[in-house]
Amino acid sequence: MPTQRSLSGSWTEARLNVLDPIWAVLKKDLRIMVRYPLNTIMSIVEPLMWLTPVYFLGQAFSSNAGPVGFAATTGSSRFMSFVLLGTITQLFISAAFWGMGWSLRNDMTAGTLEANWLTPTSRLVLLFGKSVSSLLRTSFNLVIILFLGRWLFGLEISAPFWQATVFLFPMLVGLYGFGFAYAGIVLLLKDANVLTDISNFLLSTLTGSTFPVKVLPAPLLFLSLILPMTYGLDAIRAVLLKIPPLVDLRWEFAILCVFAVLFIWLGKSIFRRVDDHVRRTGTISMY
Amino acid sequence: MPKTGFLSYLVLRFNRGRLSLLLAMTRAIIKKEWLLQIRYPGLLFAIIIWPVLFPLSYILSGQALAGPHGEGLAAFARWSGTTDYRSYITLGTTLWMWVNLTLWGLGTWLRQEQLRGTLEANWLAPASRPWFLFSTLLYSALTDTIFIAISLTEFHLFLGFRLAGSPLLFGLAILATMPSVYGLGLLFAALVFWAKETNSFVFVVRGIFMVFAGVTYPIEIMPGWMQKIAEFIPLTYSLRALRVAALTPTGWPALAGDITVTLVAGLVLLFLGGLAFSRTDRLARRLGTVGTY
Repeated sequence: MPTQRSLSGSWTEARLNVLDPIWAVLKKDLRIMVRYPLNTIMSIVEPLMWLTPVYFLGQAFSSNAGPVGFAATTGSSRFMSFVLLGTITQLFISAAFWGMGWSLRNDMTAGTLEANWLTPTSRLVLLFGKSVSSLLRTSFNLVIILFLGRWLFGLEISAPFWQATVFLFPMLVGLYGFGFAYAGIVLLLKDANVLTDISNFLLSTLTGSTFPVKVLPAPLLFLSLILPMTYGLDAIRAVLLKIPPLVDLRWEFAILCVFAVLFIWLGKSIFRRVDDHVRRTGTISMY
Repeated sequence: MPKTGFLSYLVLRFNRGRLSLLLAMTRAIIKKEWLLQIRYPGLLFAIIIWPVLFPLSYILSGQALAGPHGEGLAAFARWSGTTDYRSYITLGTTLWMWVNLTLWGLGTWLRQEQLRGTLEANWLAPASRPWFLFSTLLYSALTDTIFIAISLTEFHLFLGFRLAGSPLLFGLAILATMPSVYGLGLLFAALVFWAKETNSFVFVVRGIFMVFAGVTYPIEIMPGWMQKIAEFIPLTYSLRALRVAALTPTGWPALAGDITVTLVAGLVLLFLGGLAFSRTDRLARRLGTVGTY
């Protein structure tokens, strides 16, 4: 039985064991993206389709003075800017569930999982490669959506976007760590379509992607405040729209850093356990 | 050679023997679809949770827009004729979910049979294909009725939905909407069967409905060119009829126009759906692509 190569060693070892497999995963995903251009176009068009009813809903509540009700709720009248920034968490939560979580299941149904698993490359490196691929694709989609959203719906921010990346980066690290764990769960469950659909939507709702979380009923607000992504999105909006945050921004940054570290460790642990389980039970190719 | 004309069965060949065969076929199809549905209990869970979950983000956005003291409500009432934005939105999202269920269910039925490898066996059976289609449509209507009943109950319990209008007119508006929804489903089934592509088509069709039919807002708020497009979507009239029937005490005169348009459009869609199915079926059998996917 061939043993897994370790990640330590010389630069050549690191390149062979880590960088080359990640690059191979990136190339494969890019090829698939180009091969199915309609899917790629839909991944950009669909979020805009979801945003349009929200935009007109905002218009329905607006008078000549603008969305006065929203301004009274949040301290800002920039409703669509508020919502467009919410697409950041929406897209990356979706990437964690459908992109990362289903990446292994997609390999399973394509019949390539076992072949990949039998290579001497670390499975965590393969999963990390999928994370990088998902991150790049989602970021690309996000840039286009924000650009088009600015043109169609109006996006006005009061600070340079790079200032928000301080909060965005640890949130993404934590989300992708969660994606690792979820990939393992999907491998175990075999049929996680409904769970993924509902969980994705529920998390996007609870993090307040289209509304401030303080309008949530008390039980849902409690759940929302447990989620680190709520603080991530809140901090991004506070920085870019100059609205009061839920808690001090330093606390929000600390929460996100703890989330990042915790979920990277948790994601790795859960994935390793599930991987051992499916190999032991011989169900790795069953779907 | 089995007869395939639906009307010919009913009008020219009606007798108890044939009727019992057709009913047996319907029972078998409904039983099969039900067994498939309960085989994946997650789907049943989804039917319970989605009616409340899906409109929630729009309702909460509405709540934020309305303001802590109703500052934005006057503007909404001017456009929509009501301050009950929760019920206004939930009626729109429910119709959207009904269309979505139909696109994924009835709309992909033929393709699902293809993917499972059962379509050819079913098509070779000495059974009426139009009746096969009708039975599947009937199953879809039965499950959708359960879905709508669950949705209305949950709206009342969790989202504060109150029927301010006549229950009879509201029921009539729902019934009048059925031909449009299922006609669209049949057309979609034929399209998906011919094009051998599902996901993108579902996203496009339901996206058009989401954007143009005023699911969460009055269509009068849209620019003129978008309102013109909305006028060609039958479900725009259905949604307006449902809202007027449910949220206002006005009677039949306020609804008559929209319900008439909905019914006529629905019958046209049903006819076109049946025609598209028949043509696609003949084309697939001639080209030998019934089982290919």
